[in-house]
Amino acid sequence: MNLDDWNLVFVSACLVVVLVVCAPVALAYLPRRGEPFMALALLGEEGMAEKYYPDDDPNIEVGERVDWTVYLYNHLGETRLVAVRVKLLDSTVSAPNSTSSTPSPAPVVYEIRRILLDNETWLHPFSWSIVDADGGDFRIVNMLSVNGYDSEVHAVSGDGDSLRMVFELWVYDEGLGEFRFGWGFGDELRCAWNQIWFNATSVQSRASTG
Amino acid sequence: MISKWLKGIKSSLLKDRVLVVSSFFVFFVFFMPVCAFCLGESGVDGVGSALESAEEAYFSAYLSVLEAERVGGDVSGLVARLNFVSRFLENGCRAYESGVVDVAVFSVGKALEVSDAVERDAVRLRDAAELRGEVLLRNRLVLSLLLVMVTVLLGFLGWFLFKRYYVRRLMGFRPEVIVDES
Repeated sequence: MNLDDWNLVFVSACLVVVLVVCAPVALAYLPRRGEPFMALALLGEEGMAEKYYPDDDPNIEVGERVDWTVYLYNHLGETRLVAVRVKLLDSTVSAPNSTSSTPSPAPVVYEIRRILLDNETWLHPFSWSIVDADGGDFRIVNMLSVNGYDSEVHAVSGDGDSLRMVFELWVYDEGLGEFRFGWGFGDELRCAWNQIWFNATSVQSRASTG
Repeated sequence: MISKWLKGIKSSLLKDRVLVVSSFFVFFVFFMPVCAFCLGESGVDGVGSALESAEEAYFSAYLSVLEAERVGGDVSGLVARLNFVSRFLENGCRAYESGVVDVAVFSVGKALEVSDAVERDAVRLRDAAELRGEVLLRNRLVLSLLLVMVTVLLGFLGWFLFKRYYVRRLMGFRPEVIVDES
């Protein structure tokens, strides 16, 4: 190697060292990781994606307890206050719309609030039962008990129509000063919701089918 | 005569006292249920508005925690305390709906107390984190500049010394004379 080649080696080595030295300052201004999101899921009685109904039977009697677990994960890049709003829907009420990020118009039966740190996962037990329902071919569910609290509802199940428990994820928006269904991503609104179907049944109708 | 007069005054004073006391008694008997009703009503309404204030304090504390986090503060402890507040608020709300006023009052009071404390701590944390962030950035910049200058200087020095050594080594080579015998 002649002197010019050695010159090139020295200059390259200096440049590499300068870059390494400036890296800590540059790293502080690097853009954040990928798309921010939140995850909402429902798990069965053993904390897994199975055994959602007692004895795997979706026909729920009055007084029969159903145990689920609500799973939440925050990947929005910072701490967020969220609310999971639980609603009981029958066939006459529309479900949330993911395209327009519109919640269901049904009243809230139960609400879970939590502040989640960035990258935090949280599990919350959700036990519910039908407290009061009118009998006959059409079962009208009048009251649910959720985690020990009774809530009045009005949902009709019958003639092949099932009921569904819908879980909507609402995020507190600082600009609006209130909870909003979903979270903002650029100019768009993203949302997350879950639903589980079941039938409200009576002991007599269960016995007749069994 | 004076004693009679005194007796007269005493008896009239006594009569006045009796009149005043009995008036109060009558007032109390007739208006106490109304007062109790009003007090009772304002008690329940008071809990309702206290619940709203507690919720506002909770949201305000949450926003302060967010600000502290955005400037680099570790807010995990504050978040844990605010999650306790939400449980108090929930209990207070349920007790209020069930009419258990004393439980509602206790829960709301606790929620307000902790929310205010969290907000104060979040503001302090934010100020400390902002200061720490500025100092850290300044130190990093200064250190980086110093290291770049040292690197460049060492580079020039190293190149100068290497060049001298290289040329000296080159000059030390004896040229070989080849005799052409043709």
